[in-house]
Amino acid sequence: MEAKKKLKDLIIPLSEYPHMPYWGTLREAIVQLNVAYESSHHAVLVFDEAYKLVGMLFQKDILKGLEPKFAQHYEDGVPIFWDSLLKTGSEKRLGRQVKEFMSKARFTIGVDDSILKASHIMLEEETHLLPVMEGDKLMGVLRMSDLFHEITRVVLDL
Amino acid sequence: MPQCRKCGKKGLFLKIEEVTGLCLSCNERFAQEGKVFTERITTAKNEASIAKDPKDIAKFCQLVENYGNELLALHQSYNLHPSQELLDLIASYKKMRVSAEREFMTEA
Repeated sequence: MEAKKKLKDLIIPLSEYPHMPYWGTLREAIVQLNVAYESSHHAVLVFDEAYKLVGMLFQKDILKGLEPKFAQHYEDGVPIFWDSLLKTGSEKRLGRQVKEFMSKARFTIGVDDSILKASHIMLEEETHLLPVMEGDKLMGVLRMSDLFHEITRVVLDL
Repeated sequence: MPQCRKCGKKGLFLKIEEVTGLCLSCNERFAQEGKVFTERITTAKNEASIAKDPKDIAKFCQLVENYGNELLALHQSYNLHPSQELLDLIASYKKMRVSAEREFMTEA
């Protein structure tokens, strides 16, 4: 069965997401992500000095940035005293630039591509947001949650 | 022979930025100047999206438009094509401003 909605029906305009420059700090990103959270968008779009989209910042990227360096070496979970050390050095981490943590906008999908192809790219690249292009023109972004609803709606014949 | 599209400097060993076609010093200058506008645009854009009062929305949208146009002019002065993202942003915030202005005109 084919999806009833086309990929272009699911595109979210870039202006709906909070924007920030790549040299912005993690602290600024947290403020923006909190704003985004209220509007049910869970990412901040990152731009360069020519206002070109260069990346996306997700909650996981922020958490990664806030994690104390020593904790990154624990593969089987962190020790229980980790919580008390969360604030140690956090001021320094909050001042780091988002370009260090953002997910780069490396993969895109064409506006005429199928919903299944978009889903496949998202799974392969482990991303929840995919820029949609029409030729050289960036049309907006596609969210995994919208794809999920469309695909499951078709699968369950809703 | 590589040539900078802004200052016209050329030379066999001149390093040109692939994306912009500018020599390293023009590219650096563009980046520094562009950063100022990009920062202003993102701030105004984010303010516009949390503003509730149509008057404030219109004010911040106008700022996005103004700074966006200044960044456009900067692109032109360096003989660069603006990004589609920038053009779309200016167009959508113009629309948003007009609709916010209409709203507070009706309220008044």
